[in-house]
Amino acid sequence: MVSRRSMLFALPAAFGYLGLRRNLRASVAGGVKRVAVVFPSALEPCSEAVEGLRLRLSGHEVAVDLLDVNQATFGADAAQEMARKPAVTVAVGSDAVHAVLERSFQGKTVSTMTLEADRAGDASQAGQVTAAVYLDIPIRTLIAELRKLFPEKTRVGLIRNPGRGGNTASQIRSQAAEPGSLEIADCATAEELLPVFLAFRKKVDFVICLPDGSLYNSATARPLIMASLENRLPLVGFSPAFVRAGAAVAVYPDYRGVGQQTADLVRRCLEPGDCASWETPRKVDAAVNAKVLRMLGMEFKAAANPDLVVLR
Amino acid sequence: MRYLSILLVLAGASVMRGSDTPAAPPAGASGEDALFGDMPEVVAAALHPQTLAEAPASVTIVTASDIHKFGYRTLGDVLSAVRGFTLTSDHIYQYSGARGFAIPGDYNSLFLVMINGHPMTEIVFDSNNYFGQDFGLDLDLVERIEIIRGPSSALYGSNGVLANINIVTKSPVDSPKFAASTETDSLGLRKVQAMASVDLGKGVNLLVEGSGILDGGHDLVIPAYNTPAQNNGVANHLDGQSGYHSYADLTWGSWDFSAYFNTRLSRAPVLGEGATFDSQGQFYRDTRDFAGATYTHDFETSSQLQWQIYYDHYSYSDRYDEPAGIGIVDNRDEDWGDWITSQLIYRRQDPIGGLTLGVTGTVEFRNLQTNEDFSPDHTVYLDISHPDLSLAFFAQQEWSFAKNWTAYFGVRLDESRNFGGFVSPQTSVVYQPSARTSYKFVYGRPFRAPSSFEQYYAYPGTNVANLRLRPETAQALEFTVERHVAKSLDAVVNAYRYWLESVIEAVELPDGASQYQNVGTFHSTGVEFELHDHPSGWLDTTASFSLQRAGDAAGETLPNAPARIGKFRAAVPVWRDRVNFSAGFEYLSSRLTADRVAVRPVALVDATMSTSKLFRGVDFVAGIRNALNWAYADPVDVIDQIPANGRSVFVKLIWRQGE
Repeated sequence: MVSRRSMLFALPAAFGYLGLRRNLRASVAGGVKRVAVVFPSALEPCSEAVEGLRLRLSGHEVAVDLLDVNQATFGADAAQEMARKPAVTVAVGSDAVHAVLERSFQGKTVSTMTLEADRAGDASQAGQVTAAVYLDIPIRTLIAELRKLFPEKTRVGLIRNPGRGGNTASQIRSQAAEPGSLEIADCATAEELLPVFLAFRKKVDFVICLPDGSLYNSATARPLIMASLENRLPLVGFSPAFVRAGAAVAVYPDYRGVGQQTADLVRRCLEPGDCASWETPRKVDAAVNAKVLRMLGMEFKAAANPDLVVLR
Repeated sequence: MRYLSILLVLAGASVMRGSDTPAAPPAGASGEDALFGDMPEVVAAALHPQTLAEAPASVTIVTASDIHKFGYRTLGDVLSAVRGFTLTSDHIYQYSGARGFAIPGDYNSLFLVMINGHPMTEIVFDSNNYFGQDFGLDLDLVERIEIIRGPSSALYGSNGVLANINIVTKSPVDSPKFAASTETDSLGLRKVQAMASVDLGKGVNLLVEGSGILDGGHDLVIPAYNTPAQNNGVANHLDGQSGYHSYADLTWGSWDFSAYFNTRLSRAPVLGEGATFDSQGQFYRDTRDFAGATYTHDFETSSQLQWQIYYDHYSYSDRYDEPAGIGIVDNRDEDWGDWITSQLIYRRQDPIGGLTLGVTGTVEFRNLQTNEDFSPDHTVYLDISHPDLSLAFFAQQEWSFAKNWTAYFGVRLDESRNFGGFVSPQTSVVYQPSARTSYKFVYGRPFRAPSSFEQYYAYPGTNVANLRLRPETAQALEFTVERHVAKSLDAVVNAYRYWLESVIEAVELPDGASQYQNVGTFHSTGVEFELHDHPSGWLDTTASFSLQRAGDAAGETLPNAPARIGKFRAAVPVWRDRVNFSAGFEYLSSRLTADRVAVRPVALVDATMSTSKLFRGVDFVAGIRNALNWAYADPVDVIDQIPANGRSVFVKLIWRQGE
């Protein structure tokens, strides 16, 4: 059961998408700029981001056209949209980024709801994406959220996959407000995950897990969470699902906020000039698993975060 | 019957075969997949040991939510509502039947009842009498009940013949800080219960619970005793019971410590041939206790070790008042069992599939049976103790040998000082052409070891011991089709065939005494259908129908085996899901008694109203059972048939704090 706020993201974007498909056939009045938003409706977080983006752009003389990569008619819809020459094309999620870059959308391309590590090694994007809002939460922000909830816990460990790209260990360490309080361990494969995690015992108060499907999935979740409980070493996850599974706490982007942030970026890109910007989420959410915290013997400061989601 | 069964299975399978879309490919390894994807709820699943038999069986799960909204008060209530199960009562114990087997005189020995994976079978009578208030775990403590149909001896050994019923309890962290309840019904039962969940710090959490029951008894009219000398068949203020239940659970990291203490005394109106009818002094008392620890450790990505050690205790006592001239002879049985079991299980993921290896050892310290006259003269007739030593090894290998095909091969070797050895193999094959459909085939050779009572009990002139008793054996074939038919509709078709051999039965000897011998051969064939629908997200309905035939070697239908079983239940939440109305219907076709008398078919209607967070911390459950006041009798062992209870109502008030 969830308190304070629902963990399930509503799907107003789906209804918005159905309504706004009409825009694909509508003509745009003079002075109104066209923005194409390519997104996967099957992913609820992306739909939530699109809703945030759409609402933020409403009333700014911008016509937003939604194209769903999960629809069978996407190819035809994309061709139709390209003919209209949108000023900015927003790609939401990596599938949408690939779909946009495969086609010759004119104008500027803004990528959002992707992870920087997933994009870093992708040569096809070099020079093609004008600006981006990544989902990577700066380590400084992450640690600050943990300190709000658990003021006495100051030592933090982080598991990093060196094979995924993104920031190096020294770059991550330099981003921390107190670099000495952050210990980083590399883990390249799922087989190494448990020994790497266990090596943090008695050295840190938390172990941060960064989004990485090769390390954290249905096969590795159980032994990792069991080890966390057995050794009383809490996991800091990256999603509500991870908290539901058994991580003690998670800090994750506010997806609607990412959409709003993307809308601000889009508005800058609609103006003449350079709008290149690589941003991280301005707003983050946090969730705790009260049951797991009780099993670990930990208390948290609920009042520190009025929007905290508490799973029981 | 055989051809009809086959046709029905094929018809059911063809109805459910639709346009199967291939199963979705596994998720990729990107960060976004992890960020947006789902993860299995490890904590909920890992808080208490899971049943070893995971997928290849026809399984029904009853959740805590089901228990509350349908007003189930006992484990017997739960089984009464589940496809294919029957419940019989002789007003002393409740007896469950499945697969057509519900033989009067069998103390649920063909079932395995477990609490968090710990078998509850006691070592004196080999019974699993846990379907009434004699079960010491109150249902408020239950997280879910896993009912796994079919053989399970390949993993659990003796008693895993017809079904495995595993009760998973709530963890201390899942429970409210404090809860209390009081319950009463129109049959005379009064019950009070209290539980508390305490955070002891440093990750140690404790749950303690206790309840007391008192049923002063009510009048019961039994036509078989309708003579002036026997009060015209009226048992005055009997059919009562009293006792207590208690349970404690402490969790600390990977450790789980639990304890269970339970006693129930039943004042029975009828105790069998030779006993005095309507005697206020007669009783049955059962005590079942255990205390144990479980440790679970995950080594690496794909292997896990679990160790359990339990101390168990069982005691039984009864009093028979035998007529003797103008007085009575107060004759009593008293039995005690104490044993320690330790089990080690190792699971790992091999390249071909999951592998489970295990070893279980049991040391019985006491397995004592006594019988004596207390008055008018003290005479000891029986005082024997035959504690057993046993060891078992088991293994199960899962093998995904082709796309969408998985096979399970299991075997267990049991070796006992008292009954020798037995090998139980089991094979299952599961075919899943899509995420919506699965086909399961199971073959197993389960067994039930002879109990200490059957082997050693001797009473001059009445019972003769039999030290050459062998285990009852069975061969079981099961075939199940499960299909997610539509958005909220699921369908199941389950067909089975059982052969029971060397069945232990009481045989009358030439001198008039009786002795347990391996003489019986039984078989059963059946097919079951079930539909579960949850349309509109608010109405929850389940309907099932079972056709079965159980008979002996001569082709005679077994007693207490209905040919048809129909069940229906529905639940509707109202007023912001805070009030729930539910109803249930159960039909049993006519059954034969041991004397080959047909009893009336059964048609029971139940209704329940329950609340969930309706008032500040206060809820209630109220219900009516046998609303139509259907009059019927159950075939039992103590006499040929005994009237069942008529219409009754109950109400339960619950107060919770700190949820």
